[in-house]
Amino acid sequence: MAEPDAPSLVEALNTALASEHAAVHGYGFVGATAEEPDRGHAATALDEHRHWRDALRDAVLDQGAEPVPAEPGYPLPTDEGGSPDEVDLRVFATELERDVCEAYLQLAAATDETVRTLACIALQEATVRRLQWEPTPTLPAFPGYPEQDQPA
Amino acid sequence: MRWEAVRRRTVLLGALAGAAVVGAGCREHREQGWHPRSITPEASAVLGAIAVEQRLLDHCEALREEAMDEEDETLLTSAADAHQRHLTALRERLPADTPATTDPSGETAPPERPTETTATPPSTDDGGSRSALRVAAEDAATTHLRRAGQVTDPGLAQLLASLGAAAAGYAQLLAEGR
Repeated sequence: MAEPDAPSLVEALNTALASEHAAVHGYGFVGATAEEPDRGHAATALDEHRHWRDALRDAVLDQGAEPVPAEPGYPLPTDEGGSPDEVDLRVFATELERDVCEAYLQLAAATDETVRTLACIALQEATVRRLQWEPTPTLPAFPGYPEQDQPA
Repeated sequence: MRWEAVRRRTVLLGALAGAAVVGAGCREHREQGWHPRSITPEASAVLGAIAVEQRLLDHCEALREEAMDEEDETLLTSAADAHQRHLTALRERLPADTPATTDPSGETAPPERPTETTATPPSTDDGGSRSALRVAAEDAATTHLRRAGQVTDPGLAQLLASLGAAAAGYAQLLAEGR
């Protein structure tokens, strides 16, 4: 996965940062829309993603580069009209975590050991969070790899 | 449902700090001129990861034979399938001339730090075997993470990072009894 057209360290950091921006925005929406206990889970996830967003922003700055800013808006479950129900919100949260996992797996190819360790820990956390949104958790054999790019 | 990401992060960072101390000891050995039989650091990491995955697979299969209910059996079957796929992916990364062993504790690789969960064979004779598997999975998550930080091949680092995440996920599912 890392070999063809591997992104630079700053590109990979900014890709992960962009996914964290999206997650922070998305969990803000889930937290404001869901009922308990999902509202509480979303609040905890929001704190977690803020932590990683800030860590990634610092890592980009450490490289002497410009951190990618948050977009004015991100896709939400309301975009197709109607009010999302509990299942919609859980699917949405699962997709947020899947995207974050993929970004951290890219970052795990970094040659900088500190950045790679950060990516590995964040990938583990996102994998565990993703499970908690699924009524019947289905752990992929290779978390972070896209469906079409599994190693085995 | 409790989220324990901060605790997980603290444990992982603590384990990595411990590994760094052990690593410093190994460096001393190297500086004194001791070398194991010819094997690349990448192959050594793969062999170590294979040993971890094989132990988890053996543990899952032993527990599966005594699964108490359908949910347990589903989880253990899924975990065993995943470990099989992990082993396949790891073996594909071994150079053709790597010594044919999956035991990283011999001459072919640096010794593993023995732990209660990895040094003892799986036991299914008490109610604690499921929690023993959970602890073994947590241990595997830390071990894969540490190795991911040590290898130079970025593709292998990604594979080990993914295996560490899978181990963390299974540990969580076992902890929740899901």
